[in-house]
Amino acid sequence: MPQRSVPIVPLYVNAYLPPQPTPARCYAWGQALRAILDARPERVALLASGGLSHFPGSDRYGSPDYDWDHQMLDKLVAGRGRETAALTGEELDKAGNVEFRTWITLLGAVGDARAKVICYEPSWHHGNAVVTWPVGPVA
Amino acid sequence: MSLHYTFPPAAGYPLNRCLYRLKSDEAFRERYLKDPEGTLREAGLDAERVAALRALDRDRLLALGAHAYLVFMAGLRLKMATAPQTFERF
Repeated sequence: MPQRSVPIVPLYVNAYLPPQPTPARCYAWGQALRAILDARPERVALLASGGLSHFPGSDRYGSPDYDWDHQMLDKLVAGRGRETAALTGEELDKAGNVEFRTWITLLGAVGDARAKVICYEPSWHHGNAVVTWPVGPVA
Repeated sequence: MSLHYTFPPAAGYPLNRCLYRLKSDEAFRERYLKDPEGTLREAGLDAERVAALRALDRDRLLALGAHAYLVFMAGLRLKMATAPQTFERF
């Protein structure tokens, strides 16, 4: 096995079993993480992984909410990520976006940086997006 | 509107425990594949729950208190074990 050369710190966000963290709490957690990282000398990359519109195990599995995904990606491209903190858990569940909590946590850390959408590919059961936020070093 | 992902009722614990073990406990999954009825009975499930789980009847399982994500993952793991060639492009 190759040896990893950088430390990796996993952060789990409960998406599926109530009581999940609210979007506001996820966002605040990301903000706190950013404040800590800004005070650190290391160069740090944050990765967030979670299905866009995705209803595993439910009767909606074959009908993802692509419109919700597109509207959300437009918002992120416009640098309006902080608005995701105002979403409710019910809204995420309704759109099959319970895993979007990982994105919201990351959004708290990147602040109002504009997202760059590399791709968005709808599959028959969820949306695949690759998105980056170029966040420069602290001045 | 009811949520897709709710906290299961306490009465659903044995069923969810079996689904969890089919998802994450390889020895349990292998035992189940050799002897589904006996393995689930031993784990405390009654005939109705054994039948619903063996059929992977999602609607029935949810009505019996299963968590949707566990139903999905248990089904996925069983399919990976028994029919990996049937997977389409993900």
